[in-house]
Amino acid sequence: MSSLSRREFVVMAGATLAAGKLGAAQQGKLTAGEVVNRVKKNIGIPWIDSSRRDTFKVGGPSSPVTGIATCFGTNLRVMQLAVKAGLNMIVTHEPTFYSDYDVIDWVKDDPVYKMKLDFATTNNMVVWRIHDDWHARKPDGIRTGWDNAMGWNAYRDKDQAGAYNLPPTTLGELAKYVAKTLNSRSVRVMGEPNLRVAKVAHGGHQPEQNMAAMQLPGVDCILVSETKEYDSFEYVRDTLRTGVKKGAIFISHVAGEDEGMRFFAEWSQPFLPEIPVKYIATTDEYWTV
Amino acid sequence: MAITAQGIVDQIQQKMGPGWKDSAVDTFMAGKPDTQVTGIVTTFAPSLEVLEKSVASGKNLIISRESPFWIRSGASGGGAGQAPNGLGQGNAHKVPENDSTYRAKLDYIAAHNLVVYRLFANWNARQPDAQLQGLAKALGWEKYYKPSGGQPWASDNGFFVLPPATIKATAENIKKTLKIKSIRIGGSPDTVVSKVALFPGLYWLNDVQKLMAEPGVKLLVAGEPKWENEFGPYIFDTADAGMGTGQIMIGEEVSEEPGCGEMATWLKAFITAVPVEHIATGEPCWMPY
Repeated sequence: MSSLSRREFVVMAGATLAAGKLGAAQQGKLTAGEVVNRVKKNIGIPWIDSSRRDTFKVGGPSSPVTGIATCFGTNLRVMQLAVKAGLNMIVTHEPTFYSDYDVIDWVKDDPVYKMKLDFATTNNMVVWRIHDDWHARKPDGIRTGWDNAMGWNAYRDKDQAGAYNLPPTTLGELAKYVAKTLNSRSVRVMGEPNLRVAKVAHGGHQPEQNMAAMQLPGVDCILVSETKEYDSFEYVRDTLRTGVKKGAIFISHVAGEDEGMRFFAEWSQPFLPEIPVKYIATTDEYWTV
Repeated sequence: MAITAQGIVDQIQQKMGPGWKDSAVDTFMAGKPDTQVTGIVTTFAPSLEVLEKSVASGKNLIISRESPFWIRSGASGGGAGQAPNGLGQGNAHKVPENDSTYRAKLDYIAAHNLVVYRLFANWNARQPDAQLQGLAKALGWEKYYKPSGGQPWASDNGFFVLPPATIKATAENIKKTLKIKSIRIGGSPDTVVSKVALFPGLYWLNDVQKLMAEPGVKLLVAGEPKWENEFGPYIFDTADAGMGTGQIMIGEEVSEEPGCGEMATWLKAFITAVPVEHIATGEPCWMPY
């Protein structure tokens, strides 16, 4: 403040006040229900009404909206950042209350749940999830954001969905690039670091997806966002042991999907002109030593 | 003295006594029960490499925690790993019949007259929990054991009061002691922790709720969360709330292998007909940092 003149300070304070008034005025205008209606109108696929994921988790259609924070996961840190930025609606890709369907029965007496719910209600927040519909979008909203972040749009294989033809590199170098680009400190790898890699394909959370991806002809390396060690890791381990010269890069769930919600913010802002729509990175929470 | 694989399993059942429960999990996964046993190998996962090492050491019965065909349910798996009330991600997996890795493994097992028996549910039900004891021993933490009333060394009673150290130093210490390459850590590196919950293998929501509710517990050391997007944030949220908590994920194999060593010791005490050996499956991954 010492570097600001008194006049500048008064001008800034006035601007803040005006923005605050504007925010209050907007509250009457836009509801969370209207936000959801516009998402449904613009997504370009038949809405999946049966989804148990894509529902309100805190608040509801009538909740007033001052701004939207889009994110991978409704972690408390994301909620804290949203409140600081004046954004009271969270549009999240993943659960809020620690289970896929946000089963309240499992947490209703849990102090961590109560703390989180209390934080949300105290700050007039509304939380709505878009998972199944964002994946069902053509092309998949999550994959689109991920491809953008990786800079791999030009490398997409024309015939094989989820595959890319990269400029040749090594498994070790590719793993480093993935970790750096996705800001992830928990990348795990199987295979020889010096393996030549050009064709890469996505695996998936489920073992069958990784079995199928490992079996794709010409694929040098599979890229997998959260899968289980006891099934997929062991399958890859055995496949390499049969003499197959391939590799696998395992990234966290966050690193695999965070950027898909940055894309949601970019995609939805044009049809939500009255309010700010900002992406808040969940960022891979895991780090290593 | 000649003994069949079924004869060995009969001895195990007898030793376990009235606590033994027939299940779809603890079954012969490969090979014929009437095969003459030349020796027994215990391990986490009966990987192709473990099978090769077993053959090299003249042993043909492998008793493992995991399935030789990677999945935990369906025709070649068994039920462990279901969500507490059946909600959430299902586990109805199936290996494609024509999968080349599956075929190669079946052929190897047949060519070498191997038998794989999965001992999981009944082993887990034993008290004290040898998986927990084995991991505590491997970490050198037995002297820090502080059970919370109830049955000592029960699966949900893995509490230890360590000399206070930061989460980062604790992780470095674990990495060095267990000689591992990949470790994933959550929480603020400089947070000082002392009371730790140790939980080998996979944790579900009800596990983390129970363990973190223990007074004074700030750190969970486990294999991995069943799902990062569902149960991982439980501890992240408490850390974001300033509660000084963290989690260190050491991996499924790393966290469960010491208990498989305990199994070999246990078997040696009453199986005298054939030699028994523990062969570690080994850590599956490396990290690009």
